[in-house]
Amino acid sequence: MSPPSAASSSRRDDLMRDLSSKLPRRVRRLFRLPLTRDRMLRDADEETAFHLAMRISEFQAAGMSEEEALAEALRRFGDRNEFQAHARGRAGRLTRRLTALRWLEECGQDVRLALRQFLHAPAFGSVVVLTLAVCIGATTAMYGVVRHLLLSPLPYPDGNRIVSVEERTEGDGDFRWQISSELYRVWAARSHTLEDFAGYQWGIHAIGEPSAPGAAADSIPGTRVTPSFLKLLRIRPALGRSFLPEDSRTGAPGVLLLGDSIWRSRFGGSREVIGQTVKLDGSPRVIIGVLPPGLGNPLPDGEHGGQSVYLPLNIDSKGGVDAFARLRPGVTSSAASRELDAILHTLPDTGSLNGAHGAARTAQDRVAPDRRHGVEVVFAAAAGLLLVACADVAGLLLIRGWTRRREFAIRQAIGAGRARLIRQLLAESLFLTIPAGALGVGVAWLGLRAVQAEGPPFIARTPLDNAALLWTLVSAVATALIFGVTPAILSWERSLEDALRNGGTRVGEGRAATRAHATLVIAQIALSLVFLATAAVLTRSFVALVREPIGYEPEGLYDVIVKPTSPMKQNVADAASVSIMRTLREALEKTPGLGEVAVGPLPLSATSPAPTAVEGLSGVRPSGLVATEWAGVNREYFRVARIALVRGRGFDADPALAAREIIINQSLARRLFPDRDPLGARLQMGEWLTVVGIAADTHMPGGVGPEFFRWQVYTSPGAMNENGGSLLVRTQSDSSELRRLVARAVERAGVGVKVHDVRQGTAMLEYAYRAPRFAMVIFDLFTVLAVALAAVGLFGIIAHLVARRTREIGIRVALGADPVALTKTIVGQSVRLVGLGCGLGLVAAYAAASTLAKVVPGVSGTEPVALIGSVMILIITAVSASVIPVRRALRVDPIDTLRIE
Amino acid sequence: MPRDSNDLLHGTLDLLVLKTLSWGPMHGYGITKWIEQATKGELEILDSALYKALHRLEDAGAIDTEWGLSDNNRRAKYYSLTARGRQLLRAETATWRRFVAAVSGIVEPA
Repeated sequence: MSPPSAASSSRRDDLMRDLSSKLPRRVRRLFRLPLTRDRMLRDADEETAFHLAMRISEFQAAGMSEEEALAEALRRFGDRNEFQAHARGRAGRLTRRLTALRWLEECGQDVRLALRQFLHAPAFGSVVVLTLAVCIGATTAMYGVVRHLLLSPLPYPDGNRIVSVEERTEGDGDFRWQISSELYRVWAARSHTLEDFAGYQWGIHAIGEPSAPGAAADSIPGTRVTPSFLKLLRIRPALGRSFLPEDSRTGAPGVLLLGDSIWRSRFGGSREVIGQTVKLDGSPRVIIGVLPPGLGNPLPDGEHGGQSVYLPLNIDSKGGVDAFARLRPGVTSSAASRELDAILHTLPDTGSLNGAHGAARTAQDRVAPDRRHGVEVVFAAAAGLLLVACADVAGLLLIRGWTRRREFAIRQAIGAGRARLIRQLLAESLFLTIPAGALGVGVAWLGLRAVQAEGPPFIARTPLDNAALLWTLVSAVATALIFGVTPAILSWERSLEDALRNGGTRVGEGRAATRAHATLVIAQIALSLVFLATAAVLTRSFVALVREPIGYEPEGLYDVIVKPTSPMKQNVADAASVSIMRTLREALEKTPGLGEVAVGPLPLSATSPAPTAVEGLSGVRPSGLVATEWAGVNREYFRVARIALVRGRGFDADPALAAREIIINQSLARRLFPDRDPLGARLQMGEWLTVVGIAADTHMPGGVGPEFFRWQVYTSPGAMNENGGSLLVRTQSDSSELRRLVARAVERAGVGVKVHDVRQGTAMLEYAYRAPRFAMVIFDLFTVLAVALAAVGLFGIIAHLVARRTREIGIRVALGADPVALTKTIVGQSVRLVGLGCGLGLVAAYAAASTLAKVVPGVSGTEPVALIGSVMILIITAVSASVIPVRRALRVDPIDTLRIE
Repeated sequence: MPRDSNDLLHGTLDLLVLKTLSWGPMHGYGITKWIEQATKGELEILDSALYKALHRLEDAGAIDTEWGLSDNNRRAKYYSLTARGRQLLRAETATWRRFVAAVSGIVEPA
């Protein structure tokens, strides 16, 4: 009656009982199937069924009928529905707990395995960690810069809604003018898109009493702000109260707020200062509050706030004011600009409004496009470098993954799921990237220090804040995902059996893995070529910038500033200082080793009053002609500075005649006299001066900026003021030698002045060179890294691809293939791969270079020599990476190759 | 009448199960029968309540389970005491003795 299955099942049961009795319980437990909810419920049902069956046979044995026995068994059992509900609840509870426990246990396993893997090849791990640390550090630093400059430049609540309120004309560039108090009041009263208007005026104030009679009191920066200013910034005083509207009324008692750092340095950080009285510019003011640290003005680089004292500003007074406001929620800065402009154009058209338009600009809007693009490009570069590093590490891990195929196959065969293996890979990758991220923070810190020391000033104050640290963490995890897990999935072993049977020696990798390798090679080559092209372009344009004619020759040019040894009486100063400078010039010129000497400042360092009137232009100040560089120079100046006189002549040899002459530069000549001859025209600067010559423009390298920065006038030297006088020296001597010679000559001249400072002509240009040089240095560094990484990665992958074919090569040789032809074929395949990468890379490099030329001024074209050079490097790397393993394979006896298992 | 609602019994069901299992591994039906025989049917316990007690003790780690074969060659779940279960049994027994002594002191004063 019993079917065959019952027989076999009973044999199995015997075996089971046998096993159960022989094995210790702990071992038996190892072989248990994992508990799932379904299994637990099935178990409970089976147990109940068994119980009821036993009961029924018990009752039947006691003489009950089948129906009676069933009824009695059910009665004894109790409410089955209720029991099933209980079992379901318990199963759910237990499986949840088990899942959590297992997950924790597996995490522990992952960490142990990852640690073992790292210790197994510590050199490999360290190299990977260091490489990634540099790249993650670079992106962190650049993210800091991007965030600080472009994403959230103002450290105030909702700071991205704070806008500067401006009246702009074409050609203002990134220059920002104050607006008149009248316009401020009109805009503040009528704007619906902006709220919380506030204004400030910055100035220098004398604080306290002079330390000695006749001496000056300490001067400190002081900012006059409208009472609404703190409301605009959404901050409260750290101590005391803010300004109230009545504080700014005329006749109100004098009050004062302290910035944080002046409170700490000058008032000892004491809470008692509130209510104290200090003298400011001679009149007493009561300290009503202290502002929190980190307060600046709402300009992105305005950080002097802490040193400043704050005074209430009465906007009813005349004069200009720096105006700011907040965009109302949902309003864009361009919408606000349109509204301001519309309001501006309803006003009666006064002369000053000619061509002007209203503008509301956020801190991001105020970043000049070339700076914005520059920062974006460098950030993209850092991210690209990280990608190259990822590709590199991915390649190395792929190779390692191949050697670990057997390990993974075994793990899978004994029941590890793919998800479990991916988790292990992720853990191993995180084991590399988390330390790399930690080191990367250090790298970023060093990087930002370098930016502060050598970088362009507009990014010098980038902090390493929490946002940057978060960025580091995110990039560490993302990196681990990219290089650790993606290649594993790409090259996933389709056939477990193959891997197990052959142990990774006989069969090549799957097609997917080969494709992954090839993709990595191509990507690395392409990316490193893009770097190369960009770096070459930036380097070339920097060289061009340094070589650019700037209207004078800064090399060997120095500016000697002299000051009187004792205060001169005002009435003799005017006449005396002119003759003093003349005497000094002659004394210096006679000093051996000094060279040519003129009176006047370094070009581009001049002060800026404007001509007040032009003859023939109806006697009014030319509209828009507001800031002209003015230098007081003598007739030798143009020769010494090497500034060309393009028309007319230099100053007259007779100082009395020269004092009534003026020389203007080409830009100003074009601006003032577009349709007539400037020579002989007269300009008013105090007195009427006749234009006798037109000088070539001098400008900063790469001289971009508002038009008025380029207008220059030269007159005879005026009186020596408290800033002293300047002598221009062109010399072959080095700067310490020059200082010594000048100091002695000035002392010997005995005219009552001493050398105050000696400035180098090239130092002036430093500012202009900083940003492009910084970009160039960063890119050169990145490029060296990228190409090195690419070469290493390329070598590793190609050598691996060839080495994998050792057996194939052996077979071919055994079958009589020509070793030379075989080598050629294999090298040819590698070169083809590299060639594909180079082709793609050149296209991308060309695109990158032309994009760069569009967004960064002064950059153009590509650099074919550098590109061809690096293509050569990469091909040589590929060839040597394939030749070495091929020759090794050829040396092996074919019989041995076939035997390798 | 089933006395599942009997608080005294409900609280001491765990103790009975532990004591029963101290003789050796048993399946659920076996435990039921053993308790019935030992108490001569005096305590009639709902079978489902007994299984709930088994689950409770298993979750607490006092007993361990394993599938095995019953005497009539059917698959049955066997329960056995763990080290922790033996400890629990000792503690519960001591508590029970104190409880019985205290109740006896009131009900049957010497």
